[in-house]
Amino acid sequence: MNLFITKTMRYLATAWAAVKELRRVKLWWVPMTIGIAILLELLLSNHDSQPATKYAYYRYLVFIALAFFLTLAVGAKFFPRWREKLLHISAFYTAVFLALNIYHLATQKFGLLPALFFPSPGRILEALVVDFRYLIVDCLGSSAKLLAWGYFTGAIAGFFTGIAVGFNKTAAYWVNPLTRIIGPIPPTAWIPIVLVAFPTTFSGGAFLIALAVWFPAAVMTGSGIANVPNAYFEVSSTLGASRWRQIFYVGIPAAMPSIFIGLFTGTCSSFITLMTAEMLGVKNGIGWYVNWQREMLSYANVYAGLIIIAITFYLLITLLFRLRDVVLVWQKGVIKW
Amino acid sequence: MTTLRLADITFAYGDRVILEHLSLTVADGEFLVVLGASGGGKTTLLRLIAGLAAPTTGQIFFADEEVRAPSPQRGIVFQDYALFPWYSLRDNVALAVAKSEPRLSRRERRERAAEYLRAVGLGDAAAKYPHELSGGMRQRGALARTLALGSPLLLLDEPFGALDPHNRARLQNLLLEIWRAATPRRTVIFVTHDIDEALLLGDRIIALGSNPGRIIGEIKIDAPRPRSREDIITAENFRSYRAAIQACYCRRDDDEAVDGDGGGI
Repeated sequence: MNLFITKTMRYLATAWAAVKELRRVKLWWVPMTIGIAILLELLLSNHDSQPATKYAYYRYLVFIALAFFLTLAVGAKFFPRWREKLLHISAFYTAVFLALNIYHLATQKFGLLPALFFPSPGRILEALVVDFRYLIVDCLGSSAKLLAWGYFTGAIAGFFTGIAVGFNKTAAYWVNPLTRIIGPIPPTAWIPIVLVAFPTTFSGGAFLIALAVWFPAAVMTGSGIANVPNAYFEVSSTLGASRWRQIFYVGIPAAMPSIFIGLFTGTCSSFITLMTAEMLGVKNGIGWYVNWQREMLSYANVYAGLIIIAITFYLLITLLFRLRDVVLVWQKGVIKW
Repeated sequence: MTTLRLADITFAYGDRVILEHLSLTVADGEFLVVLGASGGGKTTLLRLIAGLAAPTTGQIFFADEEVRAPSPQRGIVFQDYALFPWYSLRDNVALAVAKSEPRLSRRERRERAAEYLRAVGLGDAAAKYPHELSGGMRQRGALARTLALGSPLLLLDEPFGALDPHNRARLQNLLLEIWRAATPRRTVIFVTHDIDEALLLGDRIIALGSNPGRIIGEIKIDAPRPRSREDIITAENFRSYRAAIQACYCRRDDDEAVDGDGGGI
């Protein structure tokens, strides 16, 4: 009995030492995780519920990822900057590849999930590769055109509405009730009317997106200007600034943080509106693609479309953040959001 | 020569009378200090002179013209909210330069702005944004901007009130240097609640009583400049000036019941 306890203790100590060792080799976590994934992929046979793909896309992916993270880990020995970066992202990407591996096992290897709705990573990659040109050039191109038209129209209209409301009492009297009534209606609720009222689904869709951006942009610009401390206007008037100079040199710059909040809200709701419009009326674009593939029950393509959507929207939001950092450089350190 | 004249000014918010029957003349190049307790209408007086508010009754004349609106002729330095946070220090000052020297190109304006900043000891901080600066530096920047405006009349509303004693002393010296160096001298109206500051800076001190605000005393300071801070505390003449100022407020306290903040001096 005593021997048993001693043995257990020794095992525990070894396990603890191994854990401590793991923390020491944090740089190698990601390659190790990918290595396990590759091992399982090579050793286990595929479940027959998942249709076979023409090429072994999943293997390509994990091998490329392995090569990439091995390069990083080796490079980290030589470049301190790489080391810092890798140490920072290590835990996150370990989790990413762990999750990918679990999903891969659950679908491709053991068939635990219904194959129709949950295609294996390899099949999603295949759909992405096969349809890539069509997805990017036709679908994304069409969506981008629609989004750009709607977004810029709405943002510019919202900006000027906000300025008018912020600076002019008459404009505020007439426009404020309008924004309060029309604003809260989700733009997608207009779809039944817009689809019949507009000559083309494109113009209708653009109008809906414009509406989605216009409301938050107008409200936040207006409130931003209304909340500019009066002292700033007084200072500028003692500096001899005319009304127009006050608007462009004081009101608008001071309201910029608020305007950007409006643009962020508008961007998010424009994405929602774009997707809904494409799924319900507009006959092309990435949202339409996802809906079309769903009807065809090719869920691998649905996921491929969603991945493209996620990446695109992520890039657009990042772009807006960068723009804000440039425009609001004077705010750095004052406000964080 | 008289440059500013206030003729029987009264200012009221509804029933609340802030300033009552106030008359005052200020000579060209004079350094006038308006001394009074917080909430006593000092800032209101300055705002009226600046043209940011209009008197309820009475008139204000500056250079023989009635004051109706703000003008770069009457530059003002506020206690806070002075600089625009969205412009760098240089661009803040360049805005004033654009008004005083409109013919300059954009680059020349920035160069002029940098000169004004060097004059207040902020040459190295020209590219910084207000939030990156200390309170003292910000107030210097605000002073530089108002100076860049080239106004013959400078209105200063407790400009050093929020500063620590060390910075306050430095900025007082700086202000005096700038004022004494310029020819012709600018007229300055400086509002404060600090007797020492008033004695150090002023050619003349106006004591303002509160509720409602009106002039309760006027002391001419006939002391040579530069004045030493030590003299202001210990020298015989300054002690009598101080006593005279305090007497204005004591007399008032005897005359009538005064609200809590009346005795703040």
